[in-house]
This record gives sequence, structure tokens and C-alpha cells, in this order.
Amino acid sequence: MKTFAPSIFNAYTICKRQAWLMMRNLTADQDNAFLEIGRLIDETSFERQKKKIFLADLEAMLDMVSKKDGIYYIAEIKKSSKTMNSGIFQLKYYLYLLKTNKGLKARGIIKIPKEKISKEIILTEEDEEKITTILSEMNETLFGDKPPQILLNSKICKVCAHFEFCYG
Amino acid sequence: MKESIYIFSNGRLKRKDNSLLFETENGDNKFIPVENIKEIFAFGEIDLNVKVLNFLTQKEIIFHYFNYYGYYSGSFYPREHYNSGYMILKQTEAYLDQKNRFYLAKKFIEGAAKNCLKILKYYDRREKDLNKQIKEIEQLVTQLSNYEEINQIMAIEGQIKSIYYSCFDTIINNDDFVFDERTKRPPKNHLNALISFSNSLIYTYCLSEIYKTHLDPRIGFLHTTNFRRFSLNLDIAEIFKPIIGDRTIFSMINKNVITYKDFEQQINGIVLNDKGRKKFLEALEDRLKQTIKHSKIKNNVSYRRLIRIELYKLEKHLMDEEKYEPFIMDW
Ligand code: SF4
Repeated sequence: MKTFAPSIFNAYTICKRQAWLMMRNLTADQDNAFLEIGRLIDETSFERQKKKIFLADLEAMLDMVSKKDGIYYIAEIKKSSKTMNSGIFQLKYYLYLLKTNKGLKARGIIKIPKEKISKEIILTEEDEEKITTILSEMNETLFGDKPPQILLNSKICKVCAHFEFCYG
Repeated sequence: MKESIYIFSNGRLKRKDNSLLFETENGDNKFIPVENIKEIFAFGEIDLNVKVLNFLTQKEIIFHYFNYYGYYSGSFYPREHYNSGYMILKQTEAYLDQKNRFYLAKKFIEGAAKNCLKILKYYDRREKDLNKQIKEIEQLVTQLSNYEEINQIMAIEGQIKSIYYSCFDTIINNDDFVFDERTKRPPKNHLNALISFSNSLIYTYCLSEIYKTHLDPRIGFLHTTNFRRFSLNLDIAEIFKPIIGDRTIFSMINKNVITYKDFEQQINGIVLNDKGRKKFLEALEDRLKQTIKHSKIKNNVSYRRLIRIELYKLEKHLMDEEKYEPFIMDW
């Protein structure tokens, strides 16, 4: 089964349509104010940890990688605990990719510097099953000719960079 | 929202570290805030070098330049940053598919005509008697559906335009600005000079908006004369020329904001002078920033943004998701 870049996987869990558009490189308008703010936050608040690592074959951008007692740890840095749950799931997807595509067993750490949180994440069998199910659904939806429908009146749309594209 | 910068003076455009500087002929330096602009319009004689072009590319800024007489000369269109093989295929497919191409061409003409009608009706309600012309255009619009070839609908478009332009004298009613006939290169009178200037600006605004999408500006559906030139912007501009450009022209003349003093006679026709261009650009900028309530987005949207949304609608048509319907003003 084909796996997807983490960015598309994450998008899919938020909005299938967004993921479909991303697959075709139909990225959203960078003028959008929300994206602009997102970028600023990303660039300014974590100046100290400029250790991003890009795994080209997985199209994955990792915030940090370290090795302790023979075990690889990959860290995901979050802005606040508000997005904790989705952050955990994203990290689990990284772990899944490393395991299935590279045969690498790793553990994850979620860090929220502002709130002094550092939490260890492991990939359970249950997680793996869940991810596999999503991936097989993605394989069907994302290669389809028609884009998935608009999430009508969703709160997500109001802050989505594709808003004018979808609704206009 | 990112802004447009208009340069009227002669001088040199320079890259200085991480910013742009404009050095005028008499040595003044003006700083151009690159982070917040999407396009530069150059009306003066400007020197620049490859360093500047590279920088414009890096900052994704389009550079539109006009010649001494204020005629549009061309645009520096930086390498596209929104690239989607998928969309290019879809756009090409639609172009090659006669039926689809014809559908879009017809929609652009229909949209343009209906927006012209909106303008005429607006003035008709204000005691300019345009009833006869409105009826004629409406008649021609219904005829559009009888035709199957681009040349035929282009001919209808020509007739619609000429009736539309014949109304200008009634709407304006000012001896300094008689319409007479549509003359383009060169415009033979004040009104034609103004229309030409206005249209060329709308083309460039449309081009700038296309740059922000995944569409290829070289593939148009109605205007398809030359693959090396931009033509999609001409298509999209049809919809907006009446409601953005012509409306601005009428209100400026009728309020005496622009007068015959804002023009000058050149060997090759009448052109706006610097002062006139500035006045018109100011009014046009105001118009582009003005917002209207968008029935689908349920929010206020500027006229400038309407152009972008029009392009998104076109993309959705090309994706075979939603048939393209042109934006029609709803006064
Ligand atoms: S606007 Fe809504 S439907 Fe469209 S991509 Fe964004 S979240 Fe999905």
C-alpha cells in the first residue's frame, strides 16, 4: 500500500478535500492571513532549535532526532497543548513511516517549550491498525478523479487557506 | 493584503541587501518595502539589472512596465511558484476540447455583456435613456447560444461592444469627452485614451492574480491568438473591464475629477499626462479596494479579490467539478 507524505496525511485527517488538492500540488494561496501568521510563529518562536531534518524519501520534515541508549527519538515541537492530540497522531505517523518504509523502530517525543511539556510517544499495534485503515481509504479517495466534497459550514473552512477556492 | 507600487519618476531600481531601492534622477533614494507588495507598475523610464530581476523572482513580485506614453509594454513574470502539473494538463485539455473551449469563450463574452448591461441599466435608472440599446444587447446575448464557432461569437461580441460604446456619449454627456468611435492604437481622443489606459491596467491586474493561482496565463480560451503571449488575463478581464474600469471612468468624468487638462497631444495620438494617470490610478485603486458582499462566500470581498475568485471558479471548472459561470454584478 502506498504511504503518503506526512503533510498530506495530516491534511487528510483534517479535510479530505484539502489532501486531494495537496496531492496535485494545488497548494493554497500564500497571501492568506492565517498562513502568514502560522509561518511567522514557526519562524520566530523556536529560533534556538534549528535542527529540522528532512527525510527526502519519506517527504518528512522532522523537528529533531536524537539517539539514546541505542534508541532513536524523534521530536515534534508544538506551539501549545491545544493541538496536542493531532500532534501526537502526526508523530505516530512518522513512527509508522520509519517502521514500515525504513524498518526503523523509533520513539517519539512531543515538546511544548512554552509549557515545559515533554511527553514520550510510542506506536502501539492499535495505532498501526488505525493508520493502515486510514491509508487504505486515502489510496482510494486521493487517486480519484473528483475532489472530495467541501465540508460545508465547517469551522475548519473558515480558517483554511483554501476557503475562497472552495466557496467562491 | 499585499499592495501595488506605482513608480512615475525616471530613475534606477536597485537591490540593496534585502530590499529594493528606487533612486530618482535627482539622486533621491526611496525604499520599497518588498515584503508587502505583489506588483510594481513602472510608468517612468527605469534602469534595472539582473540582480533586481532575481530579487523580484525571489520575492515573487511581478513587474509591469509601460512606455513613455503610458501604453502597456510588458510584464516581468517571475518563474511560477504555484506549479501543478495536474492543473496545466486540465487547462490544456480544456483548450484542446473544442466544446469545452467554446463553452468558456462563450461564458466570458456572456459575462462581459451582462456586466455591460448592468452598467447601462444603472444609468438608465438615472434618467439616461438607454432603453433601446439595452434591448438590443439583450437580444444579442440570447443569440449567443445559436452559434458554434469562436469567430461567430466574436462577431456577436463585436456588435455588443459597439452598441455598448455608443451609449458612452449619453452616459457622460460632456463635450470634452465625446466617444466618436473606438480607436486603440493610437487612441484618437480623450475618452479613447482613458479607455485604453483603463483596459491595459485591468489586464495587468488580472495577470497578477493569475500568478497567484495554478493557471497558465498563456492558455486563453477566447483570446488565443499567440501562445507566446499572455491571453488568459485578457479573457478574465472581459468580465471586469465594465464594472471596474468603465465605472471608474464614468464617475471620474461626470464628477469632473478628470478633465481635458489631464491629457496631452502626442504625435501618435492623445494620451493621459502624468497627473491624469496618477488621478486615474488612485481612483482605480479605490475601486479595487472597495468591497461588496459576496453571496457565496458570505463575506465582504474586494473587487480585486473578485478577480482571484473568478480564477478559482475557472480552476474548478477545469477540474470538472463545477461549471464555470461568470461573475455578474448585482446592483
Ligand atoms: S475550505 Fe473547507 S472544504 Fe475546502 S479545503 Fe479547506 S477545510 Fe477543506
